[in-house]
Amino acid sequence: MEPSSDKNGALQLPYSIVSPANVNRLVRELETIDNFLSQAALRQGGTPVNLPRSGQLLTDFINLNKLNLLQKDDLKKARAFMAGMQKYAPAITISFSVEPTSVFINKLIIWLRQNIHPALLLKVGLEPNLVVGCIVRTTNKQFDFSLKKHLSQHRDVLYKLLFETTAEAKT
Amino acid sequence: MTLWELIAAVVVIIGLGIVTIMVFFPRGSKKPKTLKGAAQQNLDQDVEENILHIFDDRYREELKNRGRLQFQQIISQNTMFLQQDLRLTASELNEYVKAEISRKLQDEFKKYDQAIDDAKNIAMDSIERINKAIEQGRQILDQQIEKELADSKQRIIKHFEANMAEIVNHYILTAVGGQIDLNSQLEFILADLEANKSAIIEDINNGA
Repeated sequence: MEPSSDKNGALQLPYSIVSPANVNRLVRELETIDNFLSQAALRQGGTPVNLPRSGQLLTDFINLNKLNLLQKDDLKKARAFMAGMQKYAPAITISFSVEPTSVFINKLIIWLRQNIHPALLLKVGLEPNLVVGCIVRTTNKQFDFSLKKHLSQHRDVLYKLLFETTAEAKT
Repeated sequence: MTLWELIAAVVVIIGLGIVTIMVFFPRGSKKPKTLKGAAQQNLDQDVEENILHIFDDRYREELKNRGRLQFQQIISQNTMFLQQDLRLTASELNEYVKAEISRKLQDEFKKYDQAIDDAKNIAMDSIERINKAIEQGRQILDQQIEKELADSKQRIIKHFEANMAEIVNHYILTAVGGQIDLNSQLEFILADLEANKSAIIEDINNGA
């Protein structure tokens, strides 16, 4: 599943590009392609060339935005977009108790881009003490969605349940 | 009265006195006494002459024997009396000593019993006091332990209440921490995100 193409022709991030690290990688790859194309223009005939390899992320990005990177305009547009992403894209950090799977991340990023911001980038952190839930850190705030926080918020209920259970165990 | 008259009266009185003495103590009465004294003198002279014949050696020996027998008899009698008296005295003394020793012993035993009773009473009092002190100490210790336990229990409960969420969280982490799958939490995570969506969007839009 990928985001629908923008009607105004604005480029979009595929859901496979999740983190700022992914964006940085794309920036490097686009730069490599641009350099390759510049060198290819200066190349004399018969000289062997090594084609730059494009990763899955770049492929997804190209396919989503229907770009042809051999075209200077498309390449320029893609590089500008990625530079913009690198510089201005909002990023949040979400910490979990264990390393999340790619499927989980994919579902999460879809929800985030559909509900929070279409260019949102996600940094994944690890907090082994969380057990259940997560902690979301935005630019200035932190949202604690952990089990511990839930238990603290429902302390009265927990207290009541615990002591009812203890009383039953005693009888 | 004149002096001459006085002298005459004295002379008369002295004369009367001399006459009276002469009458009652005439000088001629000494004559028989003199005769008797002569006979006595003769008798004494005979005794002195014959006494050596009377108290000769046989007589003296006889007298010595008699005296010796008499002395032995007296000594025997006295010895017997003395023996009886001594036995009686010894017996009485023995009885007296027995009675005295018994009395002394009884007194000493009484004192000893009294001393033992006193010591026993003192020991009992002391033990009772020690028991009381121990009992009081035990009660104080019990109270302190109970108070300490109650305080400790209260502290633990307060600590548990204050950190209940963390304790339960830690318990769950220890018990099933590795078995909770993130995919099964996705729904709840998205629900939390949905609930805080506006705050997140606002912070992202206003972020530096």
